[in-house]
Amino acid sequence: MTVTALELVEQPEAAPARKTGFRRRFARFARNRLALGGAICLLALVAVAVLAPWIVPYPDDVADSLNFDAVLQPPSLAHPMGTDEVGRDVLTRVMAGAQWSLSMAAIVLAIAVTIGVPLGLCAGYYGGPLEQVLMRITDGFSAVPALVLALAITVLLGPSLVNAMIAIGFVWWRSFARIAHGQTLSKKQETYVTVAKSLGASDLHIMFREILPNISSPLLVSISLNAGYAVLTGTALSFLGAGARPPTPEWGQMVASGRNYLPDAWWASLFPGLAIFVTVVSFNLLGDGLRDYFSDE
Amino acid sequence: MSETAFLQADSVTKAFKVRRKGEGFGMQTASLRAVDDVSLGIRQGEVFAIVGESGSGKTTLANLLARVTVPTEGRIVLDGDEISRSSGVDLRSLRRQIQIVFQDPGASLNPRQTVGEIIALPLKLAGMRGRRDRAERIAELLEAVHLPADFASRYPVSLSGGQKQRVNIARALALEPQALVLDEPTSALDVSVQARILALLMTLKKERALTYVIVTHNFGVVRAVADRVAVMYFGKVVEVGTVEQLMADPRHPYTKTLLSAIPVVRESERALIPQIEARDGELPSFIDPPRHCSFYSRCPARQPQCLERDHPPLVGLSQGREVSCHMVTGPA
Amino acid sequence: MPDSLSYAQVAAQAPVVSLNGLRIDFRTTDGVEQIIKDVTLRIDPGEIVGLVGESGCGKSVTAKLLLGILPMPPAVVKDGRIEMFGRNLATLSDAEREAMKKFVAYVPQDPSAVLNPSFTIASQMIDMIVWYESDRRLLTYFRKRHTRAIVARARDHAAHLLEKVYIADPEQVLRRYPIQLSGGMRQRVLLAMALSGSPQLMIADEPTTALDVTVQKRTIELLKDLVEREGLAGLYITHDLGVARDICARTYVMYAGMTVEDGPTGPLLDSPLHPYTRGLVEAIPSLEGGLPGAIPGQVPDYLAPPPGCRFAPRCPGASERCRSTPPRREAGTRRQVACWLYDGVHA
Repeated sequence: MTVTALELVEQPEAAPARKTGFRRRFARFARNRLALGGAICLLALVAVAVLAPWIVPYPDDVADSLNFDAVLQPPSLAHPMGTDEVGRDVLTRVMAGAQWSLSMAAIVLAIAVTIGVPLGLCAGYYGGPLEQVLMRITDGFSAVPALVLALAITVLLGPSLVNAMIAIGFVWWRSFARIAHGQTLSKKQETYVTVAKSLGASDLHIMFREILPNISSPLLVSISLNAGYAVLTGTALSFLGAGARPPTPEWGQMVASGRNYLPDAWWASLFPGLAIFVTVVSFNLLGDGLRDYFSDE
Repeated sequence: MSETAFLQADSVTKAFKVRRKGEGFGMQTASLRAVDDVSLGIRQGEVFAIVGESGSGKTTLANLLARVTVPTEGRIVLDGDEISRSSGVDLRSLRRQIQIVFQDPGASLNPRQTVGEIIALPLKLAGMRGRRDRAERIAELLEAVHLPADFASRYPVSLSGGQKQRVNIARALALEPQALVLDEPTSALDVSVQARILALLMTLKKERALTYVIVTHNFGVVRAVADRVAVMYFGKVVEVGTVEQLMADPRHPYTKTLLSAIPVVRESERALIPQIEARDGELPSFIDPPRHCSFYSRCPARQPQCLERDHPPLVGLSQGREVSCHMVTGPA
Repeated sequence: MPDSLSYAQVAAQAPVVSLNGLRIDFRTTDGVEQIIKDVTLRIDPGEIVGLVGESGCGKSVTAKLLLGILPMPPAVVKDGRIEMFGRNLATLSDAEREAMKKFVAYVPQDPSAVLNPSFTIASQMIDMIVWYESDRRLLTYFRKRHTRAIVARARDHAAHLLEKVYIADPEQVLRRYPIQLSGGMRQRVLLAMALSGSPQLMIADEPTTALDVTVQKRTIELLKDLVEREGLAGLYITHDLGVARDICARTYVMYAGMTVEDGPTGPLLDSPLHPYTRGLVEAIPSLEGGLPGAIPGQVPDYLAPPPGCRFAPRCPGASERCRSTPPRREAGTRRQVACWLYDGVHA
């Protein structure tokens, strides 16, 4: 009556009538309209940042340029965002500024993640005194507000955008460390980790090849949310004069310069400020969207 | 326990430290003996089953036999070598001799790795460098467990329970071990899939001359595939014998209770199991175990002397049988 | 909410449950899954009916439907008649359907899903008893729950219910937290809680799967006794045929959303008619020894199930006819089969 199991070859699952993995996942993410909006904005921002040298209307205005005839002109067809106090086209500088802000976010996050994640992984995996030491250090860093600490470091190292980025990176790793630590504590109990251990895999392998891929979701969410704040902190530092110095077309710096001419020449500060706002909100929306997306799984 | 034992446990104990409120102030550290002075001998080429309910210590014993954990006392011997405390390089080479398939087939697979990557891990750890060599070996293994070769690029989430278990088995066979320890290999699977996995396991055993240690609470599985079986209760072995012996003539009251509780599917089989009720008794405390027989509180055949004497030792009877019961082995 | 179903009305009804030709679709982002194709099932007062099948066959969906907790936007009843306590559910208003929930009790597989670890057993049982007394009205419940006299009475009732499930020392159990109780004890508390609303129908979803086999045996005896004493009807969902034999007078076998065979449990298992039932029985290792048989193939994809009999692709007795859905036929004493092999066989 029944077929002997020995003769069977397992049939692959019938070709599923489902959409392929990526499209399906994207469709699920895209249901969150706000997150989708944030993602699209960021994509546009990245496009602008990458293509800036070729698409800015007034390439000369990116850095130094003096144009006394066109000083502080209000928004017009020729200059949709007006001109600044030395006659440079604000739109051009805002677009160029995208490059700075995004690369700053990228570098800051790269430093923070490279320090924080392995730290958290080790603390969670090894436990014991190592865990205590590492997490107490993390707590120590958490006690000081990021901006203040970054300010202190930049003053020490000398004000420049690069120094600002390093400073922020050094301060930012704490939340990644905490996330990695907490997640590792729960994942290290999983059976597949026990399997790897029993096969004789090295601790390094287990931490980075077994555990890390499984904690990437909350880390991604955190990266996205933190990117926004990284941009904000960077612009804040520049605004305070501890980061980018003129004539770098960095948004925070632009807002600071334009401040002197408020409220009459409102466009010089407003548009860079708006750019900061849009960027940070987009990162936040994306981060929220990712968090919702992952929490459904 | 004979000279010809291939895999042996010698007076093995595994104790865990437990903290609880002691008398007076502060926490008291007590010891919980999950496996308590167990000695077993498994012969090469046989299928040895370890049966028990939750809390019996069978999973811990399986982990000890496969050197997933280290015994607190006693030793584990595999093919003449003591393996109780192997680590590092020794552990990796041990894996060429004995492997374990853990209890939950889904949880044993890393959801972020493909089937190919999962099976490749033991190969990589054993030093198989070439990617092509590994891919070939993976394809061989997939075929051996009746899975199509293209499953290597799939993720565990898209596999059924039975398919996941096959991947686990393929991984366990990657290094061509001589012995496999399987912890509840079919319990999480549907009935029809269980049958296929059991058939697969027996085919593989024959093809590769394997020795199996199967931990289960399902006597049907024991009846279908096992040669000999050990019954565990509360961390100790209470009876050992061949499957036929145990079914035809169970000696220990717990074995009888266990058999009588099997829900019979076919009326014709009802005559094969004893009809006996366990007493409604409190389970003994793990932290403060009694000196007398641990089954006393639930034993339908107990006598006053069982309370006065120590826990009965595992005594060998004729034909390789062993029982731990005062009523069977006689007066002190 | 008006309780238009008075206790007297409900108690006299027979059959307790009657599903006829039920068909349910489930809308997902990938398409429409036809999860229930044809379920015909009947439970009379005082009997325990088994629903047996493997994972994914639709038994949980059926249970949820009867409990009234099947989410109806993604799920749509496409066809069939659903009658409970003699009333056609389609003709009832939402309020009446809500009121009906009171008479159906649920015993789940995992006690820890129902028992809150942070509260004592007494607290949780009193919650349930007072809730039932409040006619499911929230403000009434809050008022009653804080009235000393009512709580004291509820506690006595709780102790009484625990006695019904043969718990020797109810006071001690009431004082404890779920984590302090063994698995078997927790399951008994669950049974006691299920009785608190004086239900007419008890739906148990694999209640003994997580228990040790010796504990399972006691729990099953208890269930049988309870149903008989309280005059309940029961639907016992399980994948374990041996347990079904033990506890269910009649059993339905389900495959891929269809009830393919049913009948008195003993004869059903001793001489199964439907090829799937036969395969299922043979897949259980015999106590006489030998490897169990296996059923080749896989469960169909509910998005694109095969036309006609869903078991046909795996069936050794399949033929051209199986491309159309087999009718359900009488086949022996109180037995039915839905299979072309038995078309033309009458009682």
